Amino acid sequence: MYKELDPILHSPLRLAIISLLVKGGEFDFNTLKEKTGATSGNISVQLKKLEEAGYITIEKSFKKNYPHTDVSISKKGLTAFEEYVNSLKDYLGV
Amino acid sequence: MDDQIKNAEESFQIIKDMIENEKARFNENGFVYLFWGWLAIFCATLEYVLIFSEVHQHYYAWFTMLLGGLFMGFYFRNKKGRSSMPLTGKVISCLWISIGVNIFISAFLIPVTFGHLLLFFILAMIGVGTTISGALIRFSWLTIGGIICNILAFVTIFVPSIYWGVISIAAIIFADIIPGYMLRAKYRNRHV
Repeated sequence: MYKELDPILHSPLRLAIISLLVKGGEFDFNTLKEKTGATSGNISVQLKKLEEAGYITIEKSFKKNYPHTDVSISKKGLTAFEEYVNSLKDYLGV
Repeated sequence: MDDQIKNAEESFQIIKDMIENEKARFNENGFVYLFWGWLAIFCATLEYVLIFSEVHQHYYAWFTMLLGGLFMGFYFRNKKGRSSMPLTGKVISCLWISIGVNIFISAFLIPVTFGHLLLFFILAMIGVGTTISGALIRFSWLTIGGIICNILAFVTIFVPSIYWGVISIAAIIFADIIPGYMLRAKYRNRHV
């Protein structure tokens, strides 16, 4: 019996964001945008969904009078990612 | 086909290591840095007390650090086996064990040869260790604290040894105490 894949993570951009955060800890909005190649609007929407699920934390501040957004993974997000990877392993039989 | 399975296994192993490293970062509560930081400040203060009490062997105060080493040995043995540590944890552990051993041996050897460089060597080692640890767990307070500790190491070459205690305390505040409390605050925020 295969486990259902987490629908929050089972989307290319959201999975890319979480993968980057697992690898790099935390990123600012512009770096995420640059690394994923997505538009600002799309990134914002996906970040909001991940934040609502409790998978990431977003901190907004100002740097040199410009708005600055830092995104980091939460413990819940890390656990969800681990479960997602384990489910994929089951699917692939590795 | 076998190669593909092997590649998939390796890929999953890399992802698993990444997750384990990130988990270790989540569980870093600053205890180790605070423990060593406050113990070193206690030793430096005790040494000043012994100096002003005109005790000739005032440097014996630093032997308290050995008790700290024993305590840490038991603490980590009870907490988690080394084999289950992620790679980052193993690297940091090896790094600090080798730094500790070097400092311990130098504390006996350097005073009879290059005594005026003893604190420089100790603080430089701690500074490098702290900077590398900060880089490995991606915590900039620790990296910057290590760099400041390293700079203070060079300052000790140019000041009389009576000021070494004060410089040691300053270096420890930057390398251990401030990052330790910042790590603790971060840990508490994440585990609310």
